[in-house]
Amino acid sequence: MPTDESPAFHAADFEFAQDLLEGDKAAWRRFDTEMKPAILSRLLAQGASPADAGEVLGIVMEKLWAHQKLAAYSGGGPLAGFLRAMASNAWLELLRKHRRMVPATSLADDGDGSDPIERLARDEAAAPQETPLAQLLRDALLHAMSRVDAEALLVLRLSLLQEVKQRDLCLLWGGCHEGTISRKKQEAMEQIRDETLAYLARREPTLQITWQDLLEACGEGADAILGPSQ
Amino acid sequence: MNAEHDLSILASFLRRMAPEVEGHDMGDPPGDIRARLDAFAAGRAGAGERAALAALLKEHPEWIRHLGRAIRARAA
Repeated sequence: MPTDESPAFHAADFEFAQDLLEGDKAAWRRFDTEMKPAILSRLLAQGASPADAGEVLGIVMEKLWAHQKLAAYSGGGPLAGFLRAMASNAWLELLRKHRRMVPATSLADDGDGSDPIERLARDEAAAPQETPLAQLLRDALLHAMSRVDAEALLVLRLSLLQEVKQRDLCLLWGGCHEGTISRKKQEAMEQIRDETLAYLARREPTLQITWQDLLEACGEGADAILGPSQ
Repeated sequence: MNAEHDLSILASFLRRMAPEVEGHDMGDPPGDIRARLDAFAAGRAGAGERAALAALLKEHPEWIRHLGRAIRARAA
């Protein structure tokens, strides 16, 4: 249970979510005027057509209402971020579902001699079902980190995750200038960003995700995309 | 782009999604590796050894905590 003492706790949004979960009509009216446009806007920006955006919004609403998905919101970030990440996840699910829908003609002449129904079942089983966006972002980030210069990545991790002081890193790197260390960190982070976005563009060209979208999904939206989406 | 802010978010996410990469302390590295990391922390690694250790730690990020601790201990 979150507490008001946590600096990142969004108390007003958390209360709003509780009202929604309890079916408060005024809260749902507010949701319609404030949150729905934000969700639609994000979906359109990520490449969804107006019709697709409307369909995804319907899926999101069903998950929020019928599946009580909002119960996963802990107030750790703005509710809008949680909802936008959830919508991106649902959009990716829909894109993949569309891809798996094989026209009957292509079922008949696949050429490998296997049963088309078995092929469909195999494809369905192979497709990630629960957290497609989280899995995709994880794969993209791991790919990006594998491409970054090893020394730059080490500097980045030591400095930002292990809290090693910049001047100590300078001493370890042969007495280099602090600017050299700063530059290594910045370049490593930029490379992670560029490689991640390039990977996403290759794997899911229709999902037009920006670096800010990705940070939001990995941060305040993580609770929305990590758990089972049902 | 704020590198510190961005990496902190991504590391937290990866700790949940890929704990083997940015996860918890997996204990001390093997003795020979520990000796090399301690020498690095003491500032006794040349350019070649730095590059070799960086490549090794890219494959074994679970050992970076040991290196971080060793560096901070010497700096204190």
